[in-house]
Amino acid sequence: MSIHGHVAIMEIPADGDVRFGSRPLTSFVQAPDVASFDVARHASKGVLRVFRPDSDAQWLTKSEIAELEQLARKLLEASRRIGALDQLMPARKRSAGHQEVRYFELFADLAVHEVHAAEVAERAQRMVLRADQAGSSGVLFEIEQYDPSVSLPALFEGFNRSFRASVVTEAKLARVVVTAPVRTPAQASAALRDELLGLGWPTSAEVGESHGSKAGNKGQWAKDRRDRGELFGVWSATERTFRHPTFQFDETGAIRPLVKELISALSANPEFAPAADKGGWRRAFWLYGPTLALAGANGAARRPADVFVTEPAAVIQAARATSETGTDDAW
Amino acid sequence: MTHGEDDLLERVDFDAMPANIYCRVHPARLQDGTPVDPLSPNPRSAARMAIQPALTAGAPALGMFYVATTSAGALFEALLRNASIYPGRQVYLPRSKLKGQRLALVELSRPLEIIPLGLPDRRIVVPDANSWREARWRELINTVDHRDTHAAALAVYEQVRNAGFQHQGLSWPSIQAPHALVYLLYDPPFQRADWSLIKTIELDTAAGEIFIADALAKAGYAWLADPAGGGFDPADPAAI
Repeated sequence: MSIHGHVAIMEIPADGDVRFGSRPLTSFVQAPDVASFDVARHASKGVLRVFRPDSDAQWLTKSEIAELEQLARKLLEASRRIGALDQLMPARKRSAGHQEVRYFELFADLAVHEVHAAEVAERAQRMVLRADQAGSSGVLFEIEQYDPSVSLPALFEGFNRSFRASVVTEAKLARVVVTAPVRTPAQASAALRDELLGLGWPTSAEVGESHGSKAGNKGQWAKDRRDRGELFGVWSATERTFRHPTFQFDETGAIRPLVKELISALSANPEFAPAADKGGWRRAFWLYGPTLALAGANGAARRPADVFVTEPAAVIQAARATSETGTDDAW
Repeated sequence: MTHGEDDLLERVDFDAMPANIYCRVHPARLQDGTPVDPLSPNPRSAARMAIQPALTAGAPALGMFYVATTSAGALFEALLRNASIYPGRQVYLPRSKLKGQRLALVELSRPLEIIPLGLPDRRIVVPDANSWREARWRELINTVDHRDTHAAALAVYEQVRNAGFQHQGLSWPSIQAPHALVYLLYDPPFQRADWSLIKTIELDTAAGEIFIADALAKAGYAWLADPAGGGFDPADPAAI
């Protein structure tokens, strides 16, 4: 199942400091019984974690933190009402040292339902949408209980205390707010180009040398192959030379036999033709970007450059498909 | 039914598609040059859960009208399905894929009854979370190969009709755009009069590029500029 993204988490211990974090949605599918933060909490009786879908795992914005606080407040207020808490089943018996991790959703501030761990990822994705459209949302949350002898009302009293303390010391939240790096699309593309150049692909001269070129200009051998559509290179402006992605070469350094066919297939798309892509970067961005067009058996996106080594025909077909327009498969 | 997808709905029931503003991606013209009406369904659609005789033998000739609750949702469902997604949620798409493409903001004037396929609303039609139906629906709303969904779409259509209801459409969450919900409406019973066009954005223009970058940013994605010209290409064609 293809689940993407993260959940932002506000963690409220029964006795301790509130903190924030993030968890990939896929981990709820792969390891549904594992707690969202793997931290020993010998002193804590239990932890409440409130979720909201996260726009990016790298940082939490102020508005995301504010929304998590709102959700936590809504949940804790509901927990004061007997109706909401009574619906939470007591923790199941576990052997010593094993904590209980369970997921719940608060609906319409009135009812609490236990959520199967495998459903948490999908529910998290839907949660904000429902809030936007209906004006009232569910609150998805996790309880990790360390001491099964503590009652749920007692645990929630602790969560309330910790939450109130965190609001009082709100200034501390600034520490966890990381401002998103502001990159324009042009800056992002330049950075990606530099990242790919950092992979150390061989220069024209290095390719010539490895193929035993006797020419005075060692780079001429690679240029001749590029001009004949037998080799693909990308321009490195700072080095004033082309570099050549390594997926094109086999273990002995020889150019793989179907590289020419791949370059030809890409050229069916006018913007990937050598005359329109003089520096090779349009093709490089396509070749090195994971795409669902080449999804593996597990449904995960794969990079054409990686797939070409073992399934060149599939990549050549996908390359040709980049030139298709007006397909009814899209709308 | 003989489609191997019998009774995909444990219960035939509906959820509301709210009267609201939605986003629809469509080509400006068909391949024969005919202009596309932003408020008309596509009778040739072969996208997810489409129903038409060319896709499934014995299927009725229906039109398909796909909209999403966010711009990013509509873009991912239609244009960015096979885009290159780099780490850090950076999106690259060959610009030829944008040629002639439009994003229409369209408004629905009355709520419609549709079958919800995303959680938690899927429980309305598939109450048993451990059933084969649950597993199949997860496949159907996530598969990247839309051909896998067409027989199921017809089977659901027949199940709903056999239960005595109109089959207006379906909804599911976007795989890649967080918080976006995708709706598919079938024609018939689609009513063009229920919809009005608010605005059309030309995606293959400089303004379209800015619109896409903004829409993706709201969904946590970064749009990569076309890597050509400037520092991407050699000035000298004889460069080694």
